Amino acid sequence: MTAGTVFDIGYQRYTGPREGRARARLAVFKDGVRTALGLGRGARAKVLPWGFIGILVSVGLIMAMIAGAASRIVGAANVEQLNLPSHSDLYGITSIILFVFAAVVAPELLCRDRREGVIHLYLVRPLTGSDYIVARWAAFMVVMVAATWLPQFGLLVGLAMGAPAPVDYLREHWLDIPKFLAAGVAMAAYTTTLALLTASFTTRRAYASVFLVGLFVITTPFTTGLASEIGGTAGQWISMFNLTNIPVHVNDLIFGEVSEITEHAPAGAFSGAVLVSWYLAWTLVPGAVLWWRYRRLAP
Amino acid sequence: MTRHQTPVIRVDGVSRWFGSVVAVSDVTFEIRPGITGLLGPNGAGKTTLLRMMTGLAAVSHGTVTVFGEPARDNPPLYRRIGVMSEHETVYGFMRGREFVRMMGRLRGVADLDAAVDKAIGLVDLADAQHRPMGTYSRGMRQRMRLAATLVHDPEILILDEPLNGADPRQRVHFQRLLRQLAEEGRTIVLSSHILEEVEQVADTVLLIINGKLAASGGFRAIRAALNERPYHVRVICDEPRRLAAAVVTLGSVDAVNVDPDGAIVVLSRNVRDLQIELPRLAQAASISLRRVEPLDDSLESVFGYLVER
Amino acid sequence: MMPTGEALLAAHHLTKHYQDVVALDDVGFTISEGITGILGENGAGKSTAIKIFLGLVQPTSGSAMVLGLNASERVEVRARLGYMPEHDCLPSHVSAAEFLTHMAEVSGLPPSTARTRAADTLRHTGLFEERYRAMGGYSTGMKQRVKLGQALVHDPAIVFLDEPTAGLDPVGREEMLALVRKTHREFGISVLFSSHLMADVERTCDRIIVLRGGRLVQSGEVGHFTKETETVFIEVDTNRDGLVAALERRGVAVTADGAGLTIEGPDESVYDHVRDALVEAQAPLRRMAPRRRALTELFQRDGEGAAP
Repeated sequence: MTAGTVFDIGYQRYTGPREGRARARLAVFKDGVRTALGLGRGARAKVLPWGFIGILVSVGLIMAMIAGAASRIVGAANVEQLNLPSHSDLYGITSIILFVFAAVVAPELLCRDRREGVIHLYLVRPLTGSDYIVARWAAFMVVMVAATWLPQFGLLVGLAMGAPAPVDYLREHWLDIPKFLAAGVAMAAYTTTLALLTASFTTRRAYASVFLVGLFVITTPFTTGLASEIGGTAGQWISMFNLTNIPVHVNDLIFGEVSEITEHAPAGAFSGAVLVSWYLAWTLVPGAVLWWRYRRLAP
Repeated sequence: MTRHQTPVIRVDGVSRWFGSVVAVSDVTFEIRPGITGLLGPNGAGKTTLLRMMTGLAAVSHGTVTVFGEPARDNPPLYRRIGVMSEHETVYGFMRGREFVRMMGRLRGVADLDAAVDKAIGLVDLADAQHRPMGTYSRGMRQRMRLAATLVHDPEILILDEPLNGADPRQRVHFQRLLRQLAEEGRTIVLSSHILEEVEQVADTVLLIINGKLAASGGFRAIRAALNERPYHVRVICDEPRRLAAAVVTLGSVDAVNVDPDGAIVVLSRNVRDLQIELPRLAQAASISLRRVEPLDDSLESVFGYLVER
Repeated sequence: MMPTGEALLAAHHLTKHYQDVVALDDVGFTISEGITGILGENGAGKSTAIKIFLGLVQPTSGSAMVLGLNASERVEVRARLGYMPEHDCLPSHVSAAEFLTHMAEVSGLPPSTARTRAADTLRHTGLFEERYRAMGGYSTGMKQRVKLGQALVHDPAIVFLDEPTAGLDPVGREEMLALVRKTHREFGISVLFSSHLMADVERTCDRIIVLRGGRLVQSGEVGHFTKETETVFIEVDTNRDGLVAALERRGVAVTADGAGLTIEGPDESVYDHVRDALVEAQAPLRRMAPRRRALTELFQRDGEGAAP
């Protein structure tokens, strides 16, 4: 008779490696990225994030196509004089889309965990409140950076392909790359921090989203109108409260030229130091508040 | 304790559906004074049934009468019924006494303060009555809600999981309270998942499974009616195998198992037969019986068997 | 694995004040290997003690050590702890399989091991095909299993269960208690189990701790409280009087006790007298066993539970 064995598939104690807080933070980070992009959560969860990314990339490509068409119409030499929108303008143009993207997607990373009580399961693991929020911030930051950079790369590729000699184009314009990378990071950091901070104040995603959209979309015409009414220094300061422009001013400073969107903003009159400090205030202070709120979180 | 013969609550051919979901299906029973336990798995239809019995919900079919009158749309009847449902929040800012008083006023209780004192005294919360209920523990909130249910001295009490969160001491106190209230002639319907406690206080039980009445009556009698289930009786004696050999000769015995620790477990279809024959067989074989214990003699076993069927 | 006898949990003069409420008042106890029950009213003492052990809440004074460490200072020790909260805590749009894998990773397990351990844990807690569906559609019983699963998936030394049978019907409750017993007896994981139901504690725990008003009122082995006494309890379905007479004729002293009879401090010969008396009186024997004290008797007195 052939031999037979019964294997023990009962509970086994775990004697393998335990990677502690580092693994915990990495797991929360990965989960944050997956949540933001709707990965592993069914088709419906992917619609919004990927839809937005599609729109953003399209904007970059459309701009490239326009530039290509213009170049064919007026000739490559004259295209510069048309002053078409380019890398330095892209963030100004896409800022509203980016803000709405953040408004809609960022709350997914924080609100659900608190609303459904999952946060309590995180807090009893080798993970502090600050570990959690830093990992979530990093996750959304990665997604936002990708969302800001992709259209720029799309534009770059489009412009290079449209130019008579792509390699020459790149050689002449390569400085654009580090500029838009840096400006993209600035844009992403600002948006990520404000969106997550808002999400940390409510357990309902919809409230956070609506508040953020209102915040970004409503302050724009309101402050613009008021600033031009009042004029002068007061008008300039009012214009500083146009929240959609704050990172775009930094973008302008990096590129050394004023973008289409901020051309007429009175706040642009302030010195670079003031604009950068203002940006930092609006990014670092909310960041600190966000960190503080989660550090002290107890069930 | 005297038991009146007139049923207080009559449920006749009652069904309730919500679209295609049948929550209660053709249920008929009567409830008399004393304590009746209402049992069943989650989602079996108990809450729907309780709501129909108190007139809070309409029936889809059949009739519910309380004290001979229809239960539905009968405001004077509500004065005679006290209901404590499972999930209810109370205003955290309200003081316990105020809450009970408010419920008393809603029911038109005469001599309100005396009634409130009595109700709060019954649940032993006189010390805490002036504090806001937000500061109470969950067990205390449940007890104050019970006081509010008792303030108008109702003849019928419908209690749905009244002891959620109460500690063992409060549970013992509550059982005594229920018995006292029943002795005063009240009709109490108690829905609970804690079968050990229902077994101790209830005179009869109603078991609802999937919207149907699966069993009613005293649990021992219900057990006896489940004749497809053999009784399990554990016996410890000084010569287990010899006793097993003798016991297996009984016609009503299906099987005898011998445990590694030397006890034998007899599976019998006729427990009365075994109860008489076991000592006789032991005596005839000069075997000393040390221990005889029925293993499925509890409400819990009965419940388990009925749910599995 | 801790050497036996060494304390897994130790509370020392543990006190916690919340504004004007005293949640814990100078509580001290140690918990070693096994299943320990914390009994008491809902809220206040029990949950607070558990949260302090887990490092989520800071005590006002005193200390609470887990595996010899303070979990709020040394966050890594939580990799060896499991917690099953009473309230809802599962994300509704994620499947049990994915969630348990994620939780295992957050407890420090490398991703590949996390996946296989999650699958094994789901099998041990009784979740099969449903594990791939989003948890929003689960029944209460299934959710309880996942909650227990996430507490066990990283193979902790001890798990804290906060009212694990809350909301379960009798069958579900029995299944959960069986899982709790299995957790210790088969998996070898110690359990600290808080409940307001004595029957839960009696049926599963080796030791109990009783809290009332934030104070420790009782602590000891369950067996110690419910041990068998020296009296024999006999219950017959009919003809009790005939049995009493037959017993007295044989010189056995009996007292009526509820539905049955008790015989004090029996010697060997009494059993045969009882047997013979039963046959003579033709009294159908329902039960004959040493009288066991129930845990409820601890709470029968109106004052603080009396020490046995």
